[in-house]
Amino acid sequence: MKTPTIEIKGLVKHFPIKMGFFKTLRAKIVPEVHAVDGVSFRVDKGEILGLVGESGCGKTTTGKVLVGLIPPTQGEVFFEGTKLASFSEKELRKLRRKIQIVFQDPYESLDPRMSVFDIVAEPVRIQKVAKNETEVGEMVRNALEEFDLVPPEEYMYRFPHELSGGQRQRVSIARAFILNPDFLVADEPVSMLDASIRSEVLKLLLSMQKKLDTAFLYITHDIALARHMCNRIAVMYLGKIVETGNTDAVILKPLHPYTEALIAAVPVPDPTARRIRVTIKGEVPSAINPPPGCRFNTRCPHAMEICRKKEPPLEEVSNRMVACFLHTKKAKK
Amino acid sequence: MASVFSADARKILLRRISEFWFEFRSKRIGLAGLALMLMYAGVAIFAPYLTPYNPMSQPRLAQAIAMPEWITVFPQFQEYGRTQRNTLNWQIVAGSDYIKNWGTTVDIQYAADNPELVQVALKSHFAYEQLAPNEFYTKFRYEVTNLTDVEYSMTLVLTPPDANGSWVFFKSPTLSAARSQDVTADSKDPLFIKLLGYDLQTNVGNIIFAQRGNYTFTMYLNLRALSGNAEAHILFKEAQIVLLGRVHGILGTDYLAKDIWSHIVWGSRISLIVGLLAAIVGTAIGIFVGVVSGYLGGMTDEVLMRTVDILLCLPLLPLLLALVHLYGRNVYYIVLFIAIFGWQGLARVIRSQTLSIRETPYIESARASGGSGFYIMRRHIVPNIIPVAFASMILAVPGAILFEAALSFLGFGDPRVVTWGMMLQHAFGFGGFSQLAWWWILPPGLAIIGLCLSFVFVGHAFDEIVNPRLRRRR
Repeated sequence: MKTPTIEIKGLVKHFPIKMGFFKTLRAKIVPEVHAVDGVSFRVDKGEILGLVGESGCGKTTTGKVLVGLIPPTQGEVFFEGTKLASFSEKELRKLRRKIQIVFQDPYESLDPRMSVFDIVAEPVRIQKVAKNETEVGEMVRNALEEFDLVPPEEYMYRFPHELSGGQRQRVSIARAFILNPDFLVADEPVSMLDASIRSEVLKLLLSMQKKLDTAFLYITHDIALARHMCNRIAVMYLGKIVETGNTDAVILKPLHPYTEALIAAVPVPDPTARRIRVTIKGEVPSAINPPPGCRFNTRCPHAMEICRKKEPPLEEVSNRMVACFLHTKKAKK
Repeated sequence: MASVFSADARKILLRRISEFWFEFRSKRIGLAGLALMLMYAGVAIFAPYLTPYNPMSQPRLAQAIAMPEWITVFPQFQEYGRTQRNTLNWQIVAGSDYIKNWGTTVDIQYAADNPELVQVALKSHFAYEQLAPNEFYTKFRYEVTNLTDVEYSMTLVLTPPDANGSWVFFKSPTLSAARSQDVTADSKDPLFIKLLGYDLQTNVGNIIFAQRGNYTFTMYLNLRALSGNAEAHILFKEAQIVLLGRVHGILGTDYLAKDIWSHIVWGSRISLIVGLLAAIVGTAIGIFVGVVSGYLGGMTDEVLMRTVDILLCLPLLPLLLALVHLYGRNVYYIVLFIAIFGWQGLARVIRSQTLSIRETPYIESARASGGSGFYIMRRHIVPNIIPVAFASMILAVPGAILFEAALSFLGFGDPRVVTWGMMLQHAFGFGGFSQLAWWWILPPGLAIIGLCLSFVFVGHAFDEIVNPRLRRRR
């Protein structure tokens, strides 16, 4: 088995809740938001893993831990087989050229005071990859051309507010790709864009990923989009992965009730089409105080006694990993 | 940084400036402020060409608190005269045997074979055709050398045009030693007034020069030879009478008869320097503290913000007075003190801005690219708060100017420079207000107001551009 580009094992991220001084004194335990609670997965070279889940389930936090923006509470991140924690600050900074992230909001993720040129050139300058400014200019021009911002001169001197949403997102993707990263996290890169320009941006993203053979973590709440984009899918619910496997297996024959619900919620353009209705009740429970047992038990239509007491382990069932007693029991029988 | 000089960077900078100018151009009040500001800057830069007088060392130009010259267009001031300086040109009246040379310098060489008494007399005329001056002074110099066995004394007498009576301006005792002396007879000098035989409160100028016509100075020199080989060489020179004007220059004079216009002109330099320096230094401290405090957070933030709180609580004016008293009345110390106590508000604003910028995705992506904390502060946070900081810096300039004026007005200004605040202090303390000398009080006040207004206008126009929310207020 080859070394995965990136692998995380038992990743936990808790955010302590800020309280006043006296409240902290009185409280026995500082309450924490359990954003990510024991997540493990791997992404291989050239592979696209889709991380799917509702908002607030910890997808974005996972992505940020992966690129080293926030330190994990527990668990380890391996980059090409080496623990990230074992790197020194300096090495880590160097490593950053191999790991890049594209954010969701193209309106917020570009510095309004920087020109497109400076934005795209920033990683090159920070990492001191180019010998001189002429070379930086060369690299920026190439990167902009790569993402259809042609001619580059027309866009280079502009500021973000003079670009459309699609152009902005292409700029931030060009910036992410300018150093030819080995691993890219895209945090809902097209959810803020108009439907008409989404496919264009995604196409560019995919073709670039193929060309560079980048390991790619695609974070999205849109399972239909994940199906279109990804080789594998991991479904997250309240800080845990509930089901993961090859895209086709997971989409065509979902096992976890939550995955079923997600797929059922995808709108079908044919109004006469008959669909299975999987109803999940209520809202996502609070991540400060996650329900005991299976985290989905409060909303699960198939909830059983055991679901409220014991946490289901992530086990392999018919070509995938799933964490649900409905299936793990069956598998045992 | 190398990128500043690359062609790409230059293009970006040019675009930024032209864009800003495009927006600024539409703000009428900002343009007015800018014009006013440029006018002040022009006055400050071309100060030596705008006034012939050096503000710190000037001769007596006119009477104290003289009115501006242009006041004579009004009928009640029509007769007010300017300063009249007359160099005295001497002619011989008696003792021509000994006078070798005469005119502006008189050379007397006296020698006697036997004891005798000789009187040498010289005469000089000048015309005076104006309203009697309030002040005048007469000056001359005598040098007695080569003296052997001669007693001498001199007397200077002024005769009015109608030759009715005369005034003794100078009377030396009988001397018998060689000596040189500069003699001044000043209408403000109590001894001189006493010599003339008047009360100290008398305005002698009004009495002596009440007539119009030719006045005559007569100089009597009494020489007494004591032995057979008596001789003396006496030089008498640089004699002049100055009748100080009731009006002078563009803005008159102050209590020391200094030209007010020159003070206004040179004061603009100091005011601009004080205002800009204090604002720049204060803003730099404010940006530094705000950004560091906001970006690093935690203990650093706590310590810095408590320092700000403490500084904000200090009573500013008494403290500044004490500091100026301690460290000396130097204008650059004053700038420093104003700057040190002028950044707290800005630091707060900058900190809160930094807190919100810190959480934006573009900071995260810079960190994801490997940018260090210093890099992020320098390249992302500072450029994003610079517009706000710049607007606040421009708005801080009037504050600093007013503070310096206040300090000067309270008598804690730098005595080696002329500032508008100090002019007001002098006007307040030396009769400007009691005599309602508007040409002394108004110009510095208006100059301060105008300069502060120009900065406020430009600052508000700036503010409107960088804080688009303000635009809706109108």
